[in-house]
Parts: sequence; structure tokens; C-alpha cells
Amino acid sequence: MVFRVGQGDASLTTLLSRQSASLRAELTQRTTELTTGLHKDIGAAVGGDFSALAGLEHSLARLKGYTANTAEATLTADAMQTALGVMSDGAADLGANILRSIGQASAATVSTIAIEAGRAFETTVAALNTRVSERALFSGVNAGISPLPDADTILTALETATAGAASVSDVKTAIAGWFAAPAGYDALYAGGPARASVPVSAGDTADLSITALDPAIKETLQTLATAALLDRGLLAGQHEARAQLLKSAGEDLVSGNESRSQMMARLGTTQARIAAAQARNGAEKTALELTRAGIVSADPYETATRLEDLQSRLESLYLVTSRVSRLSLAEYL
Amino acid sequence: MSVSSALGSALTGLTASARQAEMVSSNIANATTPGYARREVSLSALALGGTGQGVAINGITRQIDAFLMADRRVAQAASGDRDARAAFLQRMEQLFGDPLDAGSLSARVAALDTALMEAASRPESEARLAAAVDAARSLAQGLNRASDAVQEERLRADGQIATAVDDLNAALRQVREMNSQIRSFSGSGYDVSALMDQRQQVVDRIATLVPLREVPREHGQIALMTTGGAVLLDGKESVFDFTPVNTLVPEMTQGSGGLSGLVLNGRPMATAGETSLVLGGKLAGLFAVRDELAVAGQASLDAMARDLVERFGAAGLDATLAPGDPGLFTDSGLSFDPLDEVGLSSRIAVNTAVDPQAGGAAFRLRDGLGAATAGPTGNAALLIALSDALVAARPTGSASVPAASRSLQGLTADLLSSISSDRLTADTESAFTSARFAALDELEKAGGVDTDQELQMLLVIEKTYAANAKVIQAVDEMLNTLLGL
Repeated sequence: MVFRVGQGDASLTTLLSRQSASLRAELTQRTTELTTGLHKDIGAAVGGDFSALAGLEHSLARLKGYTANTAEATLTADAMQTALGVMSDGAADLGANILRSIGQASAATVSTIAIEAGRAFETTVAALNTRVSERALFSGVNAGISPLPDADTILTALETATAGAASVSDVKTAIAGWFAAPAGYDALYAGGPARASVPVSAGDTADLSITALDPAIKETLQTLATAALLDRGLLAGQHEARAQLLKSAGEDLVSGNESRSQMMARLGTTQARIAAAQARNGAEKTALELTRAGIVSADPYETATRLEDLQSRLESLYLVTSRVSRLSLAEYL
Repeated sequence: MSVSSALGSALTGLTASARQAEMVSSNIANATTPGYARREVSLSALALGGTGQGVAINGITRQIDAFLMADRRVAQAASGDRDARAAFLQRMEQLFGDPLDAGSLSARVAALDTALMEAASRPESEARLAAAVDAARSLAQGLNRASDAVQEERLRADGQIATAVDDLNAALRQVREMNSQIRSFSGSGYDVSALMDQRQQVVDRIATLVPLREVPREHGQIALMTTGGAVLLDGKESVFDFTPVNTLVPEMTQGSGGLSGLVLNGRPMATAGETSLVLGGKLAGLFAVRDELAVAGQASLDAMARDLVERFGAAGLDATLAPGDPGLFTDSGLSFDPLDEVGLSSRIAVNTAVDPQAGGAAFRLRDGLGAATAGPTGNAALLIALSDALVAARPTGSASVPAASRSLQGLTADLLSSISSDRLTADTESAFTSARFAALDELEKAGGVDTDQELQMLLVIEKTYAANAKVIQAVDEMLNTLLGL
């Protein structure tokens, strides 16, 4: 080992410049952290294990997807509920009206009620054909096409089916047969099979599978059509039979209230599930974002304190550098 | 003792002082020159016939600490090695990207999941389907780009190895030439300190590439060998050979013969493992990047690509596909062969049947890849199945990843975590080796020129010079007195 008296000038220069470089590197890091609020080196912040953070991010991405799904499912379910409400209200009103006035029914009253029934049938078909943002509500997977043709087409088909029926029971059988046969109502239905359930939150789906083939809808349409056909000259001239048919239709409409309510309650449950999922997703999103912030956020107080400390250290270093470089024997000789 | 011998002694004193002043000036001028070793004039008493006859200049000594220098050089090499590895792993981590970054692979996986879910919510929306296809394409392209970047890093390492080998050969030749100059000049009695400084600088350059030991040989010459034991220079210099490539694909490795290894004096030399004699420097670090780290990085990307292809290509997922047909993701248009996993991430592509940019139609994402015409627009069954397939846990197929059942996102996170923790380790090692190098470097520089000390010396020299001159003046007066008698 060489015995040293002096301390090489280069040693001090290197020392000072390295210290100032490391201080400035830390300064850059802390400044970035203070401005972005995030750790500059996320890898170091999570200790090299990204599984928690990546899992959080992915859950948040899925929640974004669920947000879109719940919003759209809400829109569809609300529109379906409205359409079913139109149908149900129309049927209930007509039923009550028939039963109220059928006691002293004159031929004119029967005809007036039949006209009303025609309108109610039309409104119901139009309601079932409702489209929300270019999507037919009751068409199942064939969302692009309205499920039913217009009311006139259906009634015309029914007229053909009931042609020749002379008695009330013949007419009722013919109409019931047309609605039950695959070649009848089902053949006019342009929609497809029921839609698949849409996921609305982790493990929960929204079932919006009601189509125009639903028994409650078919039953209502059948009864409304029976009354409406009277307006198109069914059993013309047979006042007794016409009044009897209208009365039976009125009774069916009132008794059908229960199955319609059940269908609407089923949809209502789905709506409630969607709303619950929406609330749950919102809460989960907030919780996940808080957790994520806990992982990736740099504590602003700590960062600010460090910056303050760095500043004073850097200032001291500059002071030392300037003092030391003036400390030379050459200055005094 | 005669008056004239006093005059002679004083003259030697003057000469010695002048020489010392010359050295001081040289030291001060080179106070911050890298590689400059402080010089001192070595003096001794001149004796003629048993009596003192002034001062003799023995020569010039270079003040160096050989042990410290050897340590510093090994630390310098280690720092080069670790820096190369850490820099690559950092790049690899960036290629995967942290999940917060929208361009990262895991964010692209999440975006595909979201897009599929949104499309399932409104399957009749062409825009949603197109967005899902875009997200799938973006994921495939993300993998392509990452894979290309890994290969670029390998190519860069290959090029850097070539440069390093050229530098190494040139530096060894220079050291050999300087060795012979030093030998002839020192034989003729010249001061060879400046040549030695230059030689030391050249050796320092070699020391970043390979860790080495310097062994002194006679007449101021040196021999160089790596700490692993390969002789770099002993009288004659060794010659390294390396052939760089112009393009690099994942399938090319040193083992397959596609990439050059290192050849020392015509003999192939291992570049990794126990038998390698060049481990511990930047050169070995670059070889590790090209042959180990980047290959492992590529394998991670390939494992992810394979999982993606297999997930969406599973039998039964899409009823319109015949067995053996490629699924949503293809191996450049074809179905994936498990024996051909290497480089899959550079070839993975979205099935052209669904890609409007490649003549396909987005409706096939909803109706099945084999669907000839658009089906019912409200059919979300396949879209929901695809979204489920993305998050379902399935056993990872690649042998390069520890066997476990994971979702695609889980696999991506696992791969990223493994790279990230390697990077953190490499960062720590790199910081440690740099700090060691810096500490030794500082210690070495502390033994360099101290201008204060030199100026002090100058004051002493000035005084001695004046004193010697005074002696001459006194002797002159004595002689004049004699002559005046």
C-alpha cells in the first residue's frame, strides 16, 4: 500500500458530480410522483408482483362492460314493461267496459264495443312491435325485425280461419285453433327464439327473454282479436251470438289479468335485479379504485417532505462545491 | 573535499530541482487527466569513491496502486455485465407494460374483454362488433410489436457484441504494440511513464468488456488474462472472432447455429455457464441478453399468444367451425401447431373472416367464424361464450410457464410479475456493482494528483534551487578570492 499524503483532485470532483447526479435523479423521480400522484416505478411499488394490480385493472375493465350492459338492459326492460303495460291496460279497460255494458247490450252497443276492441287490438300489436334503438323488443334474437305484422294482416288471416263458422262455439274453436296451430299465429311471428341472458354483474344475468310467443301475450291477443273480429262482420246479423261472443271475450279479458300481471311481475323482478346489479357494480368500482389508489399512489405528504429534504441537500452540495473549489493553495501563493 | 566538488554537488542539486519542477508542472497539468498516474522524481545521494558528490536522479516513478486498480477493473467489468442485463429486463417490462398503461398487454386483454361484453349487450350493433374485432386486433398487434421489439433488442445485442469484439481485438493489438515500445524505450533509458499511462487507459477499456488480471512481465511489459483464465495477451495477443447477423428471428439461437458464438484463436468458446472463460463483463452480459434473457422474454410472449389462440380456438366454442379450423386468433392465418410455439407471438393475427380490414365481416364474431351470411342480429350466445372463454381458468399449455390454471389476464399478470421481479433483482445487483465500482474508482482517484501537495512541493523545490544557486555563488566568491591572491 502506497502511503498517501495528498488526496487527488479528481477524487473530489468525481465525488461531487456523482452526488449531484444522484440527487438530481431522485429529484426528477419525486417531482414526477408529486405531479402525477403515482409511483414512478410501479414494478418496485408492487414488489414485482403485478397479479393484484392487474386483477384490479381487469375487474375495473369488466365493470366498465357491466355498466354498458346494465344501462342497456335497463332501457330494454323499461321499454318492454311499458309495452306490456299498454297491452295490459288496454285489455283490462276493454274487459271492464264489455262486462259493464253487456247486460242491456243492443246491437249498436255491441258494434261500438267491437270498434273499441279493434282499436285496442291495434294498439296492442303496435306496442308489441315497439323498437328501441333499432331493436325490436319482443322478437327474440331476430332483433332487426318486428315480431308481428300489422293488426289488419292478423285479423284478415283470422277472418280466413273463421270463415264458415256459424255458431259462437265454432268461432271460438276456430280462433283458438288458429292461435295454437304452427301454421296460424306462430307462422306470422317473424321473430326468433328467445334472447340469451345478458351478464349484468359478476355471476348475475338479466333475463329479457319475453317474446310475442309468450302464452300470456298470445292469450290476450286471442281474446282481443275475438272481440275485434265482430267489427269486421263476424256472425253478421246474429245479434244474440255476437253479444254472447263479446261477453265471453270480456270475461276472458278480465280473467287473463292474472297471467299478464305475472308476466309483468317476472319482468319487474328482472328490472329489480338489474338495478341491484347496477348499485353493486358502482360500489365495487369505488372500492376497487380505492384499493388501486392504495397500491399505485405515491403519498403526496411523503413525496413533498422528500422534495423539501432533497432541495436542502442539493443547496448544501452546491455550497460545498463552490467553497471547496476555492480552497486551493494556488489562491494564497 | 575540494571547492570544485562543492560546485559539482551544487550543480547536481540544480539539475535535480529543475527535474522535480518539471514533474510538478506535468502533474499539475494532468491533474484531471483520466488514467494519469502521479509521477515522482526518485532521488538518491550520489557517492563517488565513498564520498558524497551531490544528488543522483534514479528515475521517474509512477504512483499507482496495482491491487486497487485490479479490484477496480473487476468491479468495472461486473458493472458492465449487470448494467446490460438490467437495461434489457427494464425494456422487457416496458414491453409488457404496467396494467395502468392503456398500451400494455394486460390493458389490451381487459379492453378485449370489455368490448366483447359490450357487443354481447347489443349484438345487433355493427359498431360494437367492429369495436370488439378492433380490440382483438389490437391485442394481436400488441403481441406482434412486443415480439418484434424483443428481436430488435437481440439484434442490437448481437451488433454490440460485434463492436465489443472489434474493440477488444483492436485494444489487445494496441497493448501489444505499446508493450514493445515500452520495452525498447526503457531499454534505452527513456522515461516511459506517458506510454504506460496510455497503455493503462487501453487496458481499462478492455476491462469494461471482460474482467481481467494484469500480470507484470520483464522490461515494463504486461500480460493480460481474463479472471476466468483465458490468455488475452502474453507477448502475442489473442484474436477473438464473431460474425454478426443482419436480421434476427425468434427461431435463431446459438444452439441452432443461426447465431454466432465467440471464437478465441480459432477455437469456439462457451459464452455462458461454468466453462466460459469470459464471464463477468459487458461482453458476457450482452451474450446473456441475446441468448438467455431475450429468449426467455420471447418465450413469455409466445406462452401468452399460445394461451390466447387455444382459448378462442377450443373445440365446441364456435359451432360453425370444423375441427382443426383456426379460431378467432390464428398463427398467420392457419391453425396453431403446438410444436411450433416459438415465435407465435410475432405471427399471431386475428382471423381474417371477422376482420373488415382484411376482407372479412364483423358479424361472424356474433354468428360464428364459419357463417356464410349474417344470422339473427340479436343472438348474443357466441359473444357471451367468447367473453367467458377469455376469463375462464384453463391450464396453461406452454412448457415455459409453471403449470397452473389461469385466466388470460392471470397469465399475463404472472408473466409480467416474473419479468418485473427479475428486473428488480437485476436493478439491485446493478446498483450494487455500480456503487462498488464508484467506491473503488474514487479510492484510486484519491491517489492521483493533489494540486495543493504539488504546490507545496514547488515551494520546497524553489527553496532548494535558491539554496543550490547560493552555494554556487559562494563557491564562485571563494574561487575569486583565491584567484585574487
